[in-house]
Amino acid sequence: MQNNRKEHLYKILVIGDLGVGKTSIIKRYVHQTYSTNYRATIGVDFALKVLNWDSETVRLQLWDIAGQERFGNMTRVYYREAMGAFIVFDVTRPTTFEAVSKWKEDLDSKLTLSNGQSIATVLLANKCDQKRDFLTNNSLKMDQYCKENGFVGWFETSARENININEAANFLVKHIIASENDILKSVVPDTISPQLNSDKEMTCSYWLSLD
Amino acid sequence: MQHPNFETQHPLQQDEQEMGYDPLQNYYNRNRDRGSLDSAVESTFQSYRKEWDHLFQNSNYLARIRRAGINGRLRSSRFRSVCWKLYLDVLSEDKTQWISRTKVHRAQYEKIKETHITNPRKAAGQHDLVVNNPLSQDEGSLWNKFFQDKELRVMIKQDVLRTFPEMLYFQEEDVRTKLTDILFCYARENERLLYKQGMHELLAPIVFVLHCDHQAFQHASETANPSEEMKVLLDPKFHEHDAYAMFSLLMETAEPWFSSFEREVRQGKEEMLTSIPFARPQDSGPSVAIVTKVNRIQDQLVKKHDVELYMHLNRLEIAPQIYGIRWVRLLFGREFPLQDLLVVWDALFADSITLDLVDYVFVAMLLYIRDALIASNFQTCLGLLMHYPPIGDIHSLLLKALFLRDPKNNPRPVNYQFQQNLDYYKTRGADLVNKTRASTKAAPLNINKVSSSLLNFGRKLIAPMGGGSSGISPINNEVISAPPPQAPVPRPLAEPPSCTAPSNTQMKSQPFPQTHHQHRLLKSESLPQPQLK
Repeated sequence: MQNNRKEHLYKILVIGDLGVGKTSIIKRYVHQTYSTNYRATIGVDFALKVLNWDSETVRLQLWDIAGQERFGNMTRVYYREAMGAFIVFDVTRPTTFEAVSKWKEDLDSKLTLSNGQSIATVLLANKCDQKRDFLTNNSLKMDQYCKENGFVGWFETSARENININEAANFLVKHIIASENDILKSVVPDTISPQLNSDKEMTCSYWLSLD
Repeated sequence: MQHPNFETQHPLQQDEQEMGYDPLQNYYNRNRDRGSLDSAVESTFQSYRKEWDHLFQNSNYLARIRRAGINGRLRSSRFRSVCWKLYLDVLSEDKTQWISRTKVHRAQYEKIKETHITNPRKAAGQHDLVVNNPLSQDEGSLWNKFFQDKELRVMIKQDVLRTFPEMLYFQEEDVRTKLTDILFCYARENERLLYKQGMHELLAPIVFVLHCDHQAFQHASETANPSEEMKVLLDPKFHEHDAYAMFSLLMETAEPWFSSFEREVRQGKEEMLTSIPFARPQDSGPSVAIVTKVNRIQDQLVKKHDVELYMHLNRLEIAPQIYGIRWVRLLFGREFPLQDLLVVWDALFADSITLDLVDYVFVAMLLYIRDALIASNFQTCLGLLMHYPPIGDIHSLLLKALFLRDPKNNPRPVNYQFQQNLDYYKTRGADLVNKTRASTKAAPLNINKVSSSLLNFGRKLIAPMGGGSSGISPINNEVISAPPPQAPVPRPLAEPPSCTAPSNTQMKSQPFPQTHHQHRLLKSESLPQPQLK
């Protein structure tokens, strides 16, 4: 087991309101399964995912934080040392989208990288296999929303249909690695290679906000 | 609220007629006897009646059923709900008041439900159209209330649909409606707390236990006329009413654990929050009651009983709120399979309505996996704590908890430790729980030989800092092999952790220096799986 591969360990938060599908996304991503039968998360749960990333190994520690925990000081301990985050909402329930900015504020107020930047955060519009009737129809508006609220990008996802989950995770990991390099080198921003565009596909749109 | 006083007589002391028996074993025997008698001599009802009398007839019955609860002797009782009602103070000790008390509780719920669900309009009693129209912004508007209610109901329903998804019973529509209505009424009666996630899993076992007792009652009463008390207490018509009464009394103790109200934690006099050097993340800022509680358990009880473990958890910076909130809020509901959970609740409730034993069960659970924890890095520790491994013998865990709380009046339990292939936890995050639980019973016992070397191996791997990525088992090590074999290995306290664990055959016959309960150990061989006390 002592091969010489370089290893990275990243803690990634998965947050958002009650019942938006955080646990389902994690189970889909980590175990390639889906069930309608997951219990409500109480407090926090976690799962591990190992990726072969070029010649390196990336371990993701996914922290699944209960939707009801966004109150007061509780989240501070859960957020600690996280390098990236998904904020999830349910496209069929507008109120869960309204909560997104509250989660983002909570996150940014309690956690920053050593260079003062907020951690890479991707917005997930989950349950996109179901009917929806509000703004995710309008991807320009979503792009705008992400820009204004400091998300590095957004994806329409479905844990049930396995849509865009891997893509979103890879996208986030790239950003994490980029921001980590950024910190390590302490060089001028905008050094992130444009190879990020290599997997540009689907309905996602993103840009770099590490300025 | 009464706190049973066991100072003079420890709770494990057997009743006269049961001296010298393993309580569980005794129970199994009794069941078996009863089974054969049923078919031959006695009618079902007579045995039913007998069990009732056995539990509630004696003059000092309450102390006795408390002991029964603590000792795991209600495991297959058909009157568990009645015992719980007594423990939770829904019923008073005075049996002559049982029927009247029951009727009072039921009438109360009837009224509460009428107010909040059946006819909220009537409750408000307002028909002023200036206030009561759909566009009114008035806080007291019925329409405003209507919209709020709808939102609350949706939130509750969302969790009710996810309650014990593996049990068919909780998929039934009328059961779900009952759960939702009870939680809704509770939220409306407790506006400050409202509904908080997790309450549904405190309610569900109560509803289930009542249901089981109703089933047994209906079955038994087919053959004879039950007593008036039975007929009233076990009337399925009032399932929802009774569940509400039990749940709200349970919540009187559990409420602070769900509250999100924050207050500054009192530190030592001279300590200013900002000036604590090396303050841990859980030490800073205001805190909710549940966080204060689990911090206190780790900082005081764990430190007192196992300083090495305490230091290890601190070094890895594992704040107890990460795993402990769920343990406490759900009263360990996710940590044990339901049949064991009910035994844990028997003991918690029987011991005291203050649920004082929770803290010690918490510590006993940590001690059970302490060797594995100490041998593990941050990630593996989190895996163990957040997906607690199956425990072989729930009763010994409870014995341990009692001993930790009051070593003078409780027998020292044989030390037992969880031993396991830790690789399993290193490579897997979630989903362990379901899989391991499902196959707990059939798990093979083959791990003993590996375990000690594994633990030593594991020790070398401890990362100095939390979250270190060093020394983790091979990547993508898909765990296809059987779920972790679950083998509580007996180990006398004095034995150093590094010595070879005894094999299975030794396990059964090996004398334990400090076992007061050796007979129990031998008896337990007839149980479905080796169980060690």
